[in-house]
Amino acid sequence: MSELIKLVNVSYTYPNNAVPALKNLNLTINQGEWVAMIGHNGSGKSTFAKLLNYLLAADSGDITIAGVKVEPDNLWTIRDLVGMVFQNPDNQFVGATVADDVAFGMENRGIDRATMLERVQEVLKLVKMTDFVDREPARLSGGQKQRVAIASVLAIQPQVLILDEATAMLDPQGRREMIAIVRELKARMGADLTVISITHDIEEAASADRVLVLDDGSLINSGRPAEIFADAAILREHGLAVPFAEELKAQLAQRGIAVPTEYLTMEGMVAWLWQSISKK
Amino acid sequence: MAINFKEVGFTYQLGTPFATPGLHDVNFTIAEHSFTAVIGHTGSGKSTMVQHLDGLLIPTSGVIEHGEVTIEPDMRPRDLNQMRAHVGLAFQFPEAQLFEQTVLKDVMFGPKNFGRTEAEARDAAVKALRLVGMAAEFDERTPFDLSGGQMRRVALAGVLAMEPDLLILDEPTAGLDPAGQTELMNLFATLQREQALTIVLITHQMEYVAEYADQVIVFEGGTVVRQGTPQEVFADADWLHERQLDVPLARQFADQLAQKGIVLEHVLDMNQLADQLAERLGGGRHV
Amino acid sequence: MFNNMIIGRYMPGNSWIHRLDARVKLMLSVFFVLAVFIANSVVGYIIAIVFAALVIQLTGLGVRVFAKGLQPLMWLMLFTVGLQILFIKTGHVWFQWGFLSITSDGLTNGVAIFVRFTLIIFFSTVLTLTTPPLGVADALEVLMQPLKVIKVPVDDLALMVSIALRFVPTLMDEAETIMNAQRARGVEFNEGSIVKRVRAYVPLLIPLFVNAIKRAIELGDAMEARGYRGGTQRTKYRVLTWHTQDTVAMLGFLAFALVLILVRVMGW
Repeated sequence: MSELIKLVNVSYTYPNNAVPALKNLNLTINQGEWVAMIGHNGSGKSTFAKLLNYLLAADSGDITIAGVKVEPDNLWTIRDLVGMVFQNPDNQFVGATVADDVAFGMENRGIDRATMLERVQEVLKLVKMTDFVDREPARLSGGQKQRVAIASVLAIQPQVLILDEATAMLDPQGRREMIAIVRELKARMGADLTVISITHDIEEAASADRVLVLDDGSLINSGRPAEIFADAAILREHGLAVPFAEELKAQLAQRGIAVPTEYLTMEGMVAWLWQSISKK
Repeated sequence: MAINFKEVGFTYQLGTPFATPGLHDVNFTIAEHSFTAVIGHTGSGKSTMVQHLDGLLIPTSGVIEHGEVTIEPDMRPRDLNQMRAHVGLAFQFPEAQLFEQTVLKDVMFGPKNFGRTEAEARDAAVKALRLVGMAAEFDERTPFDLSGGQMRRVALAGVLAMEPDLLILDEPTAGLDPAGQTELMNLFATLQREQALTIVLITHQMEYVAEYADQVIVFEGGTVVRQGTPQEVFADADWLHERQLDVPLARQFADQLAQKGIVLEHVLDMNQLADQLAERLGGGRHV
Repeated sequence: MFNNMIIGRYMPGNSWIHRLDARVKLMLSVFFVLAVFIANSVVGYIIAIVFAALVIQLTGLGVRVFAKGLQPLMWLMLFTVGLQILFIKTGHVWFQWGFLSITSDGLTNGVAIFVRFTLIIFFSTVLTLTTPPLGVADALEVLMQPLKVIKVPVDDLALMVSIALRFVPTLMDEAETIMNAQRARGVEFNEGSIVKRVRAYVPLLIPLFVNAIKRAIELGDAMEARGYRGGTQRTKYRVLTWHTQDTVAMLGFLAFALVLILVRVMGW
C-alpha cells in the first residue's frame, strides 16, 4: 500500500497558550487504511484533525496528503482531498433540508445541478438516509444528522474521511449505526477511502486497522487494536476506556486467576473461559 | 423525599392547533433515599417526566405527590418555587447554563435565588466546587475559559450547591472522556450514600444502571412500560432489544457464557461476574 | 414563549395552496393588499371576502386557525376602528358627546377598516401558514435578483437567511433548556417589577449568546471544511419550478382584481 498522508515533525501551539497542543508529530497513514486515534480530552486529537485540512496551520513541520503539501496555495485541493465530520451534529448541518445539506459542498465547487441531483441520491443511499431526503434537521435524530454529514463528505468524493469525535454526542444506538455505516463504506470502497476516526469509543477504535494513542500532544503508541487494547494498565493510565474482556481479565487476575496475556475479544474471552472451566 | 405519580398526563400546548401529547397514564413511585434510573428511547417521554419532577411543567391530568406537596393540573409553576428549592436538576450538557463572571458566583447563583445569605451561599458553593474536584484556584476565573470537562463540573456544582434532597441528572457524563465519566459517577454514588440524597438518573448507559440503581423505570411512547429492580428489568433482554435498549455488557457476556453451558446467577456488573467466574476457575487451585 | 402565536408559523400540509410556488404566493400576498384598497363599496368588499374565504378553504387548515391569528392584533384593530368611529364628523350624527361623535360615515368607515384589516391579516397568514420559511426566503431571493445590478450580494444574503432560519428551531430549543435550567436554579421569569423581570433574563441571554457564538465558530469551520469560499461561482441545488397551477393561481387572482376594478369604475 502506498503512503497517503505524511506528517514530519509537526507542532502546533494555540495562541495565548504556553503548552503546545501537538509536539513533533511524525506519522504516515497508508492509502485505504482505517486509523483510529484515541487519547483523553485535551490530548491534541482534534488539533491533529484540523491541521490535516488546514483549518489550522502547523507552526512547524510538513504535512503532505496524496503528494500535495498542506499550505495556503493548495488550500482548495486539500479540501477536495479531505472531508471532515465534526462532533456536534447541529453545528455542521448547513442546509435547510437533508438534500440541501448534502448538496452544499457540491454547490461550493460549482458542480452542475444534474450531477448534484444524481449524487445526492447516491450518497444518501450509502448512509441509508434516502427516506429522509426532504427532512429538516430539527426533525432528525443526532445519529441521522451525523449520517447526513458523512453523506455530505462523500458527495465531494474525497480520499480521506476524518471523523472528529463524530460519535461522542450520540446515544448508543446512533453510535452503533454510525460505526456500522463506516464499516460498510470501508468494505465497499476499500483503498479508495482512507478513514481517520478520532474517538473515545472502544468499539469504534477496535474496528480500525490501526490505533494511535495520543497523550499531551505526543504519539505514545501505535499498533493493531489487539496490541493496543491488550494492556489495560497503560490504557487506564492515559485516561482511556478499557475493553470489556480486558477489564474482566484484569479483575480475574486480581482475584488470583492466571489469565492469558494476549488480547481477547468478548467472543475470545467466552471461548477461553469455556475451555478453562470445562477442564475442571 | 418520596415521589408518587398517579395517572399523570401532559399535553404540550394544550388547546392550540399545535397540541402534542407528552405523557399519558404515568404511574410510579420513587422512595426516599433511593437511586432510580430512568431509561427509554429519545422522545419516549423521559425528559418531559423529569420536568414534572421539578415542577417546571404541571401535569394536564393526574396528580403528583412530591413529599408534602401535591401537584395538580390547576396549579401554576410559580406555586412550586418553594418545592423547587429542594430539587436539583442538571439537564443534559448543563454547562449551557453558566453565565456569571466567575466560577464561584455562578455556583452561588442557585442558593442565593432560594434565599440563602451571601455567606451561606458562598460556603455552599465552595463546598460543592471542591466536591466536584474544582480546586480553589478556579474560583475567581471566568467559567467560559475552562475546558469542557471543567465547565461540566462547575455546572454540576451549581446544582449541588443548592443542597437538594432530590437530585435529577440527565445524562450527566455525556461527551466526557472515560476517566471523567467514571469520576463523576462515583461522586454521585458517594453523595447518595453519605448524604442520603434521592437520585434520579436518566441514562443510556446500562452499566451505570446495573451498578448504581435500586430501581429502573422504562419509558416508551410517553408512558411507563416497565418498572422494577435492575435484576428484574434486565432479565428480559429480548424485550429490551425490541425497544432498542441495551442490557449491561456484563449481562450480555453472562448470556454468551450461558449459551456455552456456563450458567451464572444474577450477573449485572463486572464484580458479580468476576467473583463467580473466579470461584469456578479457582476451584482447588487457590487456598 | 411564543407557542400560541399563529402569525409567522408554518403549518405543514399538502393542499393546493401549500403546493403553489412560493414566489407566486409572495407576489399575490403583496398584490392582495393593494387590491383590497381598490374595493370601496359593499359589493367590492363582499367580493374580496368571498375570494379570501375561497383561498382559506383551499388551504385546508380551517377558519379557526386564521381567527386565532387575529387575536394578538385584535386590540390594535379595535383601537383603530374606535378612532374612526369616534372622530369622523361627516354624515348623519347618531350620537354626540363633547368632541366625540358617532356618525353614519364614521360607522361605515370603521366597519370598512375592520374588514380591510381582517382580510389583509388573513391573506398574509395564508403565505406564512402554507409556505415553509425557507420557501419564503427562496422567493425573496428570486424577487431580489434585480438588486444585484446595484451590487447587493443577494446570494450571500440568501445563504445567511437560510442558515439563520435553519437555526431558529435549534436556538429555540436551547433557549427553552437554558430557561428551564435557570428556573431549576430559582429564577422566576415574568414575575415582580419591570427591573426584576429584565434582570431575570440575564442568565438566559448570556449563555444563549455565548453558545450561539460557539455554534457560529463551529459552523464556520464546518462550512470551510466543505469548501465554502463565498463569492458567486457557486451553483444552486434548490430551484423553484413553475407549474400549471401557479399560472392558474395568477390568472385567478388577475380575474379577481379585474372584477374589483370593474366594480369600482362602474360604481356598483
